[in-house]
Amino acid sequence: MFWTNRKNPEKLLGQYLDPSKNWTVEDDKALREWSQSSDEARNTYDKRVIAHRLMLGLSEDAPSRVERDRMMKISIERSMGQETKAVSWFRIEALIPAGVAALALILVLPGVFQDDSATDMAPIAPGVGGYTSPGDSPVEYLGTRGAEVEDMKAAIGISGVSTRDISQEYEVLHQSAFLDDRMRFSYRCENPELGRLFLFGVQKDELIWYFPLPGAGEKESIEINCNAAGGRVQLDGDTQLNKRHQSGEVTVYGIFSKESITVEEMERALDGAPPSISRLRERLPLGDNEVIHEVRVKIAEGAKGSETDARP
Amino acid sequence: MEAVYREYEPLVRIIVSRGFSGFRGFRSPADQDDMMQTVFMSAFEESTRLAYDGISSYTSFLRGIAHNKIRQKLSKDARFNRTDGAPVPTDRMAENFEEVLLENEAKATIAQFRAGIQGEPDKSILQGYFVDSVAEETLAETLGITRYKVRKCIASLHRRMEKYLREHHVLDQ
Repeated sequence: MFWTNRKNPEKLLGQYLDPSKNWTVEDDKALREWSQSSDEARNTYDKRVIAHRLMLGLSEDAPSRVERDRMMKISIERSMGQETKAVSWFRIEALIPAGVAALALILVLPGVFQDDSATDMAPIAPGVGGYTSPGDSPVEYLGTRGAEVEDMKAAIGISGVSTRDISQEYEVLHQSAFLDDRMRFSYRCENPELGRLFLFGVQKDELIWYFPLPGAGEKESIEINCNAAGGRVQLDGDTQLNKRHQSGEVTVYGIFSKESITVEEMERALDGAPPSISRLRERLPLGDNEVIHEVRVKIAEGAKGSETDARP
Repeated sequence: MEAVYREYEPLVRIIVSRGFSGFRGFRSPADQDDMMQTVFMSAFEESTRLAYDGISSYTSFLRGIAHNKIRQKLSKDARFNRTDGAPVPTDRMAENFEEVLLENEAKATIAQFRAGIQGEPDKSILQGYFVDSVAEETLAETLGITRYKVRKCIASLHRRMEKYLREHHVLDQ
């Protein structure tokens, strides 16, 4: 049975989930080691954290803030700890004779072992696919387009479009979009039930409609084509940034729904407070399978082109 | 590092919980959480940071590290190397139908805790602090109470959660 086959309470787990308790690298190491030690320990861990998450209204796979903060703190501290491992005095002392001997060799035998080729160092060859991770086999390099997340069932993608080179798209999630350029939207969706997309942005508390665009007479979510192949589909109509945006961060929300959402419904949902995924879920009639995807894009000042655009 | 972690934590969480290619994601939160830390610790190592060129997409770079670490775990851990035809641990299927029903029933009971938190500031703090990661100062300001009161409320909510779990036999009495 799911909850009742537990034998002993694990104090560490209680401490881990208690926001008022301190949590150290040693605690975390002990917890992780224990949770990976046996099926029983893993089950105990799972039941406890799943219960914690469900009580907060989260899904089983979504850790709470307490868990996330703990994991972040420990990941950073442990990786920093690996960098700053203290070298013991014994080791330093042991290196002194070796250093002295090496220095003596250099002084006594100048030029004897000189090898011209030693100064001509070849660059380290990159790993297959682009990157290697230390101690690992070459890791694969998967290109991304805009902000689409390959693992989500439905996701929006955003790319910048240079107005200087009209067809030149560029990535905007890890660098800035430019104010005098255009923003291009796309989506990827694998669930055929999700046939509607509502796309809007928020910048400095200002609402920016994209799709639908009320100024163009559009009043509800646009129709999209979701299928199991989940290929990228570009939306028809770029947005010229310098008309409604300003430099700074814009948060874009893409809401994939089964039924259409009207502009009025969205205005009501956004009334009174800045939007968030939880707030939108609370205020819109969305089911569990319907997806809200949030993407943040930085916009920088820039004067590249002067293309006019179909969408203001 | 904190900013990088916060930015990319959702991406890595999706990879470890939903998988990629033929891998369907770790079923167990213990495995998911362990892998989250493994991936970020590897990403934050000095040599890994130096290996990133700063020009290409960091998402792809991090995704590569995550895929690699997961593959290493899958190949090392005997639990994931079943050759007898039995379901591998990544299968999101419970052992039998009766167990599924009991699990769902228990989960529904546990999830009712949230519905029982109605008064303020408890309700806002449960959502704001535990779910949305709102800072204590911001919560105090928004709710018009002191930060001390916010902390007291957080501690009280945690105690109520523990009590609820004990009452429903998830925790020992």
